[in-house]
Amino acid sequence: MKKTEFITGSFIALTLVVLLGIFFFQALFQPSYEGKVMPVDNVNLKNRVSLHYVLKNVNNASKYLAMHGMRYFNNRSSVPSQTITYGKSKNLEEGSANEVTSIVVNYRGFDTLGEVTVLFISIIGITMLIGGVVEKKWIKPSLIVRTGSKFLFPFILLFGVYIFIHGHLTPGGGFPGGAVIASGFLLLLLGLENYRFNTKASKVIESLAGLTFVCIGLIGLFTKNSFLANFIPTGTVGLLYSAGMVSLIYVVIGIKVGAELSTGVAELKEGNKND
Amino acid sequence: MNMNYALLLIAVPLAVAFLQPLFGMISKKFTKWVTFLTLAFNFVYSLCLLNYVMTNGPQIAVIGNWRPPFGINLYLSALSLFLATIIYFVGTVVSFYFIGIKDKPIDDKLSLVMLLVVGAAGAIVMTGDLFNMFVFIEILSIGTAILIASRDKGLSYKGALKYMIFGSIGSSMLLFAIGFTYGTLGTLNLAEIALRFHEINPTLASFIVLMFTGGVFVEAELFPFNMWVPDSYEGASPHINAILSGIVSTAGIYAIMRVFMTVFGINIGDRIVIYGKLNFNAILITIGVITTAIGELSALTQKNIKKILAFSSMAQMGVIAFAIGIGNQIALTGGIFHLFNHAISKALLFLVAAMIIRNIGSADIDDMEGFGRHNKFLAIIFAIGAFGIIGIPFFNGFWSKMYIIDGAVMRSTPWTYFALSFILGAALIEAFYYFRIIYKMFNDKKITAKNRIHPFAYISVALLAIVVLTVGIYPSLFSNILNHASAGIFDRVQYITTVLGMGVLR
Repeated sequence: MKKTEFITGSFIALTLVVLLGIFFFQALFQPSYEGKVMPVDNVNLKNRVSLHYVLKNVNNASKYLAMHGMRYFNNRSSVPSQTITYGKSKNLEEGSANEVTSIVVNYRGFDTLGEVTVLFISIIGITMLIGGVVEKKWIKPSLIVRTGSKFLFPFILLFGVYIFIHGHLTPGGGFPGGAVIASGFLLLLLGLENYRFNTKASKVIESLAGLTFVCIGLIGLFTKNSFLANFIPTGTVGLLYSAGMVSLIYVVIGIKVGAELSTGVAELKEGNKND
Repeated sequence: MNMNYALLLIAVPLAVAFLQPLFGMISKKFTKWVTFLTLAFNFVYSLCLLNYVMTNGPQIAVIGNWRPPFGINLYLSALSLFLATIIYFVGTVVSFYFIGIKDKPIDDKLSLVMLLVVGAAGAIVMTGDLFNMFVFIEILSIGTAILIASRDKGLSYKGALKYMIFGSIGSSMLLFAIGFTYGTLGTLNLAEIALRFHEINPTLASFIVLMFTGGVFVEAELFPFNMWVPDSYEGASPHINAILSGIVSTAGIYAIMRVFMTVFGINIGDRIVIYGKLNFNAILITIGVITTAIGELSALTQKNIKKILAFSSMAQMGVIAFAIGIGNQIALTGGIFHLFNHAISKALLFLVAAMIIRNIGSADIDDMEGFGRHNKFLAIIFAIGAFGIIGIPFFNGFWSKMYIIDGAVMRSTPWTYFALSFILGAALIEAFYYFRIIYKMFNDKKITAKNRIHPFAYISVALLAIVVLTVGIYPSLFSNILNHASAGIFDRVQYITTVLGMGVLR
């Protein structure tokens, strides 16, 4: 890249940033008589769609919207909702105790399918373009690391599995659980001298897990007439066997992310030799 | 017909893409066939849906049984499905071409990424949710960067890196826009935002529009965000350029049309004006003119055929941005029509360029002297594609440019006339450099061919050339669809009531 090109580019970028900054501050300090909604004053957190996700009354809200029309949007919190008791409420429209999970996997599950694909395609790109660059700098591990990684590996694996199995009850879920599992394999790759990660098996597991996610969605499409619709009873809030397909999807995501990240880490170290 | 089955258009490519690593263990060739067959299925299915939508009006597909403003939905209108059909058609043709070229070790991964890019572009044009659009734009931009880098030469890595930088800056700006929208209106559903966007303070609204600009202008190759175009197109393989130009930019322009006009716009008289403190329509016209002028002038100075076509593609995007900025229905119809013509003709030109480069082993137009004597068929097909882009009468680009000029004249403000003169001048420059290539090709000079071309490549370009000629000779073939499509952008009330239900206006 030529130097002049760079200077022009940075000048344009600086101008844009300054213009946008002026715009931003002007919006913050302008009196709110022109439009109703402002970023600083009058923000009503209860007037967001996520309110219904938290109260699990989306179906009620749909009926309310059809009945009242425009009036609904100004006053979302007037939609009737029932009290949810941990460990007691049964057969709600959405059964996970963890609110974030209920949004990520159920109400906006399609986005999560997209995010899984983003991770998938990123790992494909990384292994395709920069596979096998790390091996040169590998240092022989000490005795403590060798023993410790062997000892810790099963516990790390168990913890990862625990996180994604309890994704609908406690903070965490498929993505963190998978990352924990991958960190266990990373420890083995760094700590053991002649450890060979089975990339082929991991790829098979990853592919089948991804297929299962889409198939869960398709089962919903064929039985409940809507993609990613819940087709399993939701059960009691707070139990392990609850939340219907949410827990199932999180297990699948956990396995997929774990296999995927492990493959990525292993191929960064060893390069994809099977190609 | 249950419209929720339209989700198969997105779910099937994703499922097949997840399985591609397994197919890759069997055979690399097999993955190419799988990609081709999946995209062909998508093309046929989207044609069926388009046919249904044309008779029954726009429909929505609900995901997870959560009704629209609460869950994610797809909006299936004439415009979305028309563009989806084009995207899948170009994808099918390019993947068919891809079967014919020589196998490389990374081909299984490439066909996987190609499938995901085309699938994501199809999802962008169908989705009815802002964040969902963002997710698929992410898949699109990461996949495109991988495709650009796949040629395994220094230049392609440079191009991919540039695209990655622009793409990630654009994505983060888009995320800003989405965050501000959700923070103020409390929703991500496009129809509900369209219903309530005028409640936002105008200054903040303009800020959101500007931020959104950053995200989609990268894919749409429009001015401040198109510096990646020359390097990336030069670095990537030519058949990848067909995807970049025919599919990625189509998806980007759709996002601009749908979000700027239906969602952020307000109807004033016979046209749609983007709501906010800034006169964003004038900005769009200016951006269109600048993009076109820069693109055509840069193409004039280039010798590398890939760069010429890349700059030309940028210039066409400028013309479409100009049409969107004018904002009346005729200009918009022309814009959509030009988008279609550009996708088909530019895919054709890039595929022919790929074959020529492969045949003579050079991308320089000086080395192509006499190619028309050596291989008449390819040279004539190239000429057809070039005439389509320039807009020679009885080729497809003529009719769409006529529509755009018609719309601009109807708007009739001094600024539009001034901008229009630039667009027309740029079209002259464009005609000059395309005719220069065609002239050189038919010069009398002996050249020696190096590599053979696979028959599949001939079939795919012939297919595209047939479409170009058919549309050129019989332009009213699509007029019904195009009218429905542009009316779908204009009728904001129809968009809102289709998604949220009739009761919402009460």
